[in-house]
Amino acid sequence: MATLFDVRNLEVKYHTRAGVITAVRDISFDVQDGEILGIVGESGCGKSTVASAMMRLLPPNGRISRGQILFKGRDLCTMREDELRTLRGSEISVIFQDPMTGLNPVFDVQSQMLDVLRAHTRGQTTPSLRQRALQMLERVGIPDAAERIHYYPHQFSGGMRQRILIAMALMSHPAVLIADEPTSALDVTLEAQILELIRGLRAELGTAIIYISHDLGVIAQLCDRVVVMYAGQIVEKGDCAAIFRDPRHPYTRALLAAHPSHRHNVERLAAIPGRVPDLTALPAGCRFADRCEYAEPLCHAQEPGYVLSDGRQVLCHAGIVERIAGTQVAKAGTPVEAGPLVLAQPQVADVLVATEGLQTYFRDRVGMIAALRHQLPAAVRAVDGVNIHIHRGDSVGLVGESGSGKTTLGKTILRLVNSTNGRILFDGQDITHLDDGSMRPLRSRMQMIFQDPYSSLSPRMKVSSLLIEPFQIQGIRVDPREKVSELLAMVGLADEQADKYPHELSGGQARRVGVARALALRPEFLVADEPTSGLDVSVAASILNLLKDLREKLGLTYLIISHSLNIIGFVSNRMGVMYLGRLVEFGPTAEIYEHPAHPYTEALLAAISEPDPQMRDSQGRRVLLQGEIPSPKNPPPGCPFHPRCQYARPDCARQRPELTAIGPDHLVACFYPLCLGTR
Amino acid sequence: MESVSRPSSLSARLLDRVPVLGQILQRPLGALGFVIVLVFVVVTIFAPLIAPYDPAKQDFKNLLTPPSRVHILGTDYVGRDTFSRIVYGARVAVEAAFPAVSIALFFGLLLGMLAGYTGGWVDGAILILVDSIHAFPMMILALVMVALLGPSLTNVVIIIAFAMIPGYARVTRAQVLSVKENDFVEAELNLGASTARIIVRHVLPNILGPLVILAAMDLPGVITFEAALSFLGLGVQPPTPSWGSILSDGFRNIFITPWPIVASGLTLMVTTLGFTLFGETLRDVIDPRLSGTKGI
Repeated sequence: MATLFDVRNLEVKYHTRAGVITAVRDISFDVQDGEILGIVGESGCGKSTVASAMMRLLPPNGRISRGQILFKGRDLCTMREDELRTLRGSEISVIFQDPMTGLNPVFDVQSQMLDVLRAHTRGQTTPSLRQRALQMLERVGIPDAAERIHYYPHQFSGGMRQRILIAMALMSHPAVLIADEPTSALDVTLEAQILELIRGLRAELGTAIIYISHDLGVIAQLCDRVVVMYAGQIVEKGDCAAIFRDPRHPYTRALLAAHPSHRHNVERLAAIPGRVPDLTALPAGCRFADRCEYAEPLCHAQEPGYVLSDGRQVLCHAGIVERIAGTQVAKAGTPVEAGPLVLAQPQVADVLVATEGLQTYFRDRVGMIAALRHQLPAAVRAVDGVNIHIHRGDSVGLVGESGSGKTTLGKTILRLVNSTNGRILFDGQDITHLDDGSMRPLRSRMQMIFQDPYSSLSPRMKVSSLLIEPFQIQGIRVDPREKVSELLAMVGLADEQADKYPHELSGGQARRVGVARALALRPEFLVADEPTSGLDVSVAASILNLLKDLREKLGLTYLIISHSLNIIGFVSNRMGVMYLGRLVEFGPTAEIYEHPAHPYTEALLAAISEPDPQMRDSQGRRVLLQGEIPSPKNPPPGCPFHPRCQYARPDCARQRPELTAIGPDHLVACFYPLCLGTR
Repeated sequence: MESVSRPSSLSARLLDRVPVLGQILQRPLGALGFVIVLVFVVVTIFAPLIAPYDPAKQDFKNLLTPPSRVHILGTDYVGRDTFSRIVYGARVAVEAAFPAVSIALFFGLLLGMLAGYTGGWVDGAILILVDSIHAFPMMILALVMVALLGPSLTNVVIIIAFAMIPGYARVTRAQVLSVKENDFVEAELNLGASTARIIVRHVLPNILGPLVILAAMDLPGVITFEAALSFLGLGVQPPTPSWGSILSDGFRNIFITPWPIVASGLTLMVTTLGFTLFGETLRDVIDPRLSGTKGI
């Protein structure tokens, strides 16, 4: 095996208004022919800076101030721009996170692919290049590639665009592919498909891959070797299996412990306290010391060097590495004994929120002429006949791919979106058609935590005003200072935050303010829409713990919407699975994870990337969900899932299965539920 | 409830804005614009102290004189002091420009918010109305209106305000449409807030930035337009001095003395330039796209 990349003591500086920032320091690693190297760490740790430096594509204010980047023995740092250009795209390719902006919207796919090919090949005719482009599209799994090669980017979905970008990156058979969070913007099911594709292409073309991700699960499933980064430094690097089995750096351990997993039955997640240090004001000594559970006085005084431990390099003091070596990753709190969960027996009187045949359709705006001719556009059936019962004190999780109608269902229940049909019952009262005035007193009993923490906080109001607003609106007299400080304390924020504007808060803090505002009026029912989206693992863990604590303390009832089954597994005791606006399975979370009854649930569970390389061996068991979720404007006839279902039988296309009980408290909308052994 | 409803004191808001002025002064062109605007403002406020003569006082012994120690910019055809007339002309420019822009801003804001927030057929109707006004050439509109209403400063203000409403209505509507998409509007609804509260406390503060910029950039145009109308004799009536009327008076005697034309023309040009530079720098400094990214 030949060494492709050899990065030695790389240091990158950014010149900013605040001064010169050393973004990454003393980075050394190598990439061997045909291997997949993972770079993992929280945001702001310098992963993308390293990738940009390796392409010599740093932003104008960035500079490589020290070190070498040897590619096949030649130093990229001293290369001229025209030499670099011949390497980029032909020897080194890159794919980025956002597939929506990676393609030029005004050219069709073929001309964009031919552009790349022409830049790197000489003396080939256009038809032969076109043939190559077409083959590549077929290889990455674009159906009807011969026809679709003439499509424009907007005619493809996000997953398809990422496939096209991969095809473009690999067309010239590069030696190295740098992939910067290529699946972070995609659903788990698509993520699993793309990972499978990347794995297959590596085996077939022998391309080495540098895979950058914040997601430990993806890294564990894909990589041969791993580099863990923290605050601009490599803290641990070595063999993937070894790092996940027995991490030797406290940060790696903390990251793994903070990762929610439905396979580990834990009470609380081990959140990492604090946040990644500001690169302009680095602490003396070890950069992780302030957040490290193993920290000793030495750590705050002296910067550690690299220690070789079990064939891995660890940036930590030797004494601590020895102490850590071989011990189990501590998932904080007392691990719950695996076994049947004790569930509160449902009673009819206990139902807090219920919907009956709830439908929410959206229609596009129509032009005047079309309206006069009664040409109504097809409705988007965001929620299409949902019956859900949420018991008081329960925490109900709602999962499904994006476009399955989870958020719309949550908002319709809260009457933020008007329903088209059906009924909504809150504490026995029909609230489907209540007017604003009659809804107002009920509003204080049901609240929502929004997906985007910044967008949901009015940008020109201070935190204190935001937290007092609910009382003003409801006309409740309170002592503002006392109340604000009480609410901030409840979500674990200091009093100083009261005087800040939302944009001055970090993502985790903004989320906590959102939680505090939602809980200000002491609601009984709380809808949380993707409560951890956009947050790093360590911060997400603390938010999930907070939600769990508050539920116990205040006796709340939750509806938690998430695309992540790991999160749902951690915070909910009952869950619903949605597909194309319908509930396809509903029941106790533990039971569904153990024995999924609907093929869609099984596929979702199989698509989870576990932070455990051992799971890769059970690859054959993985049921990869093919294709993508169809348009809710025109759902397939019969069972809406049948075109993607690997167990589908002819009658699935003819008739639509209704939600029926297959066990106590376990409902499924399938003619042939998996766990009943009818297959 | 009043005790808690002060979101941020005036001083806090001013402090929030002061960096904007600091940033404007950091840019050479912005600083130049700011100085010109400042001089203009000082002149209008202290006109009686600055002007050596009554702008309407006629002096038949000194007709059409060139600049001298007595009349630093000379006199016009009835012996009025040109410098004093230009100083007082600045007042007319302000009296026309600020009310016109304010009225246009007020009605534009009202229509735009109604259209953007309500949507549906109200939106459609307002758009048709606004587009019809916009489709009318401003100068023709002015001529027709003056013919109907008669020439006066008040009518000039009404005409200009009317013609500018579409711009403000459209910008407001676009801003409201984008602000409305934010989750915080939904969060307010979810707390049971009334529409009025959402508009006044949450939508309005978030759309004012671009409108202030638009108003600042409209001012020089309005000053020029007022001068143009007065030049044509459709604006302020004699003996009230306006830069436009000084220009047109000067034209009749251009071969005897060019000074009234040179002085008023240059003043108009420099003032317009100053306001334009100031407005453009203001836009660059508080461009909503840039200030929007600051938080994330």
